[in-house]
Amino acid sequence: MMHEHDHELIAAIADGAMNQQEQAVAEASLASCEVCSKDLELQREALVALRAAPVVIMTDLEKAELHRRVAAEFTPLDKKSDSKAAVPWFHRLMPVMAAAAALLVVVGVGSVLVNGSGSTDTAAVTTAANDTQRTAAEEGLSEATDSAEFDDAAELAPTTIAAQAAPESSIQEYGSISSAELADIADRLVGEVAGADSYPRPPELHSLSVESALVCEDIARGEGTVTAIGRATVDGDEVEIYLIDALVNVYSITDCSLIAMLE
Amino acid sequence: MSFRSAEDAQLISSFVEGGDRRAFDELMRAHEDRVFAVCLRILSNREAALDAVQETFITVYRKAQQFSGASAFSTWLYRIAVNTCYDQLRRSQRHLAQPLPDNNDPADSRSEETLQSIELRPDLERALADLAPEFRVAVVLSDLEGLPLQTIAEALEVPIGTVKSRVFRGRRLLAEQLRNFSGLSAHQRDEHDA
Repeated sequence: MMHEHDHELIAAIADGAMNQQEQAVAEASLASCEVCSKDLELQREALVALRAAPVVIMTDLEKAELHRRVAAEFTPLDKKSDSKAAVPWFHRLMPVMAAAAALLVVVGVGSVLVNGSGSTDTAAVTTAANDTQRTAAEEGLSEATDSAEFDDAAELAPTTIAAQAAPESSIQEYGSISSAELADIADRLVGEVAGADSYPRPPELHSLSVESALVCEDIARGEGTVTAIGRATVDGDEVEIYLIDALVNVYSITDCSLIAMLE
Repeated sequence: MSFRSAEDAQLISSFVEGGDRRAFDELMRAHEDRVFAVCLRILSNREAALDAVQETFITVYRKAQQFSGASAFSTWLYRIAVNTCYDQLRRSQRHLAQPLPDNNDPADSRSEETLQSIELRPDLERALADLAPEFRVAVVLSDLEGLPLQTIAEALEVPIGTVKSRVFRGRRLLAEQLRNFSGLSAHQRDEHDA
């Protein structure tokens, strides 16, 4: 008959929690108990098998997918927040950044076509942009305009979209701006730029040469097909913005952590 | 308080009080592999484990303000992960309780993909999966993840004596099952040779 205290003793022996002398004494005390000896043997067998098990970790792709999915869950929660101040800038700007990313692609198309086929194609790009403007309005991208979070966008400076774009580069440089300024820029774009499903997708845009090194490019390309890239310093945070398939990922260049994801 | 615990406390505080998403990301990166390992060992299925990890961190995000700091963040995180896995096991058991097809062989009720998905010896993997969940969780946390018994007790919200008992009985059942498989394999080899 085995008693409860024997369990602890047997486990302690099996775990190797005793010094050699203590262990010898403990094992001797169990020698007369057949059940105890068998239990010790089983404990040791289990531990040998379990301790030989390899460490398991997630693959980089699984981690990226995890962060993508968790970030996707954040957005609806953040939109419900009543406090503008409590919400990080990258959450407040999600709809805005989606529109900005769409613009990147439109401008990128312009860049490809202008460089490759001459001015005739510029008209096609303009047409595409105009088409997408209508779609944006129809599909409710103006939601951000309706939101109290973007009320300050009413005093927009009459900056043109072209002034924000750099057609000769595949990277959109937004420069050092505040979140409010980026909100202003993007708020204006919301009314002018298409929803993600309606603009033409240049499959080779991502292969254009870039003028300076990107920090998070490898991570972004691991997520899918990158079709547009932007860069900005927003409220002091340097970020890179990638349009990946139908999603916009915003990475901090400090550690390439994903700080916003837009659908 | 260990370095990791202190850092976790600072990060969760930054997230809860300042809405710092990067702090939350850092917490995820610090713990995601261990949470994944726990879920994978408990659920015996990589896809299910990935789902559980996702659900765990979403729960952490939603309930972060409820974290009191009475225990280490990692202990609280393990509690959420284990409860998430329990929920998944309950759901899958309900699914398994549905009538099986006529041609289903009970011995093959787990697909090869499932049984070979957690990177353990196949016999160990099967023996672990055969343990009752409470024993499996105790053995996984203690002997595969190396958590102190006190931490396991806090994570599972049971007395430490219960944890010791579950670990002890879990190991015993596991070893007996391994012996059964070993005997079965020897018998199969004998039949094959004959």
